[in-house]
Amino acid sequence: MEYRIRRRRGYVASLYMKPDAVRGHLDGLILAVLEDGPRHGYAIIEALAARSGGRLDLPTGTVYPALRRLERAGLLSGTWTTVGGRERRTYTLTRAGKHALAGQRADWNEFSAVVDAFLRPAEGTP
Amino acid sequence: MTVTTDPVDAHVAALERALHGLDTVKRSMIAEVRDGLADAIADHRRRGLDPQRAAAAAVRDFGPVREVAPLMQEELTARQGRRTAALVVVAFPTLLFVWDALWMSGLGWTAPPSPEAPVLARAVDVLTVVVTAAAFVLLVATFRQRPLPRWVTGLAGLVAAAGVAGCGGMSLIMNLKGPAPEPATAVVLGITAIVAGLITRSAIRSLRIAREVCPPDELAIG
Repeated sequence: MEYRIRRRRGYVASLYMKPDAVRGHLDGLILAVLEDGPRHGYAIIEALAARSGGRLDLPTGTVYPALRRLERAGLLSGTWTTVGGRERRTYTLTRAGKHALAGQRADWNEFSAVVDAFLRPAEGTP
Repeated sequence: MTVTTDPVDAHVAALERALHGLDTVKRSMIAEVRDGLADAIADHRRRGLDPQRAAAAAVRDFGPVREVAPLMQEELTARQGRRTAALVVVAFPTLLFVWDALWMSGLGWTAPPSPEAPVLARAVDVLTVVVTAAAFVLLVATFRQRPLPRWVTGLAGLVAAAGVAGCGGMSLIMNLKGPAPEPATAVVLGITAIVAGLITRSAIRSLRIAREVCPPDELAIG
């Protein structure tokens, strides 16, 4: 029951976190969760969900092609390794990936500062 | 008799049918998806769902094939384009160098070449440089972070096919009109034919995959 409620809450939250808006930033989010160290695909999906507090509700299947795209661009390196007796594809942030993440952070800070300057209620506004 | 189909198997099979491209990359992608779905099922089981419901929930979380397959196909198409472009960038200058080395060593031909040979040889040199430069630009393009347009892969196929047809055709004329090849020339000719075959196969695959979109009937499940 609790599980169902949690999923329901997740669905409601996703209505506010517009999927198209999220997709535009998915690359940056993936790079950010890999900053702590290498992870396999599902661990990346779990980290995305955990760091968004469950508000990020993308189909998990869309994360795998995004990982391949980032790997093709040289921002991640992916290798098959044996973890706990299972063959898993593990992704690591490359030097170019770290550089791209730093760039995306700077761009986001600048963008959010500009938008915030417009959308923050003016002082004295009820 | 009721036949029950595992939802994960059915979903992965539908995804596999919808994807076209390099076998090694496709196998790796499918294996990764299957691995992730196994993790998702285990996750749902830990939260109290029975195996059947856990599998259904994992598939639902994964998303419909019609949504995921085009994204995966984009990557398969890009990888095919990269493969073809890389093959051209490596093979064409190498073959040019090998043929020039054979020519300068004097081991290739004992009799003087045909009158057309110098002009054709120069044309092959120029075409090799042009084709290699074009393939290099396309190869660099495959490193862009955003989804790679399908036309890049198509163009890689076109450049490779034009290079093989042009350089191969002119080289064939030179060898047919010239003196009989010495053993060293025959060996290099054989290697060139094999490499040309590999490039042609990759070019055809690139052209085919660049034209393909996931057929609607293959996206029917999910």
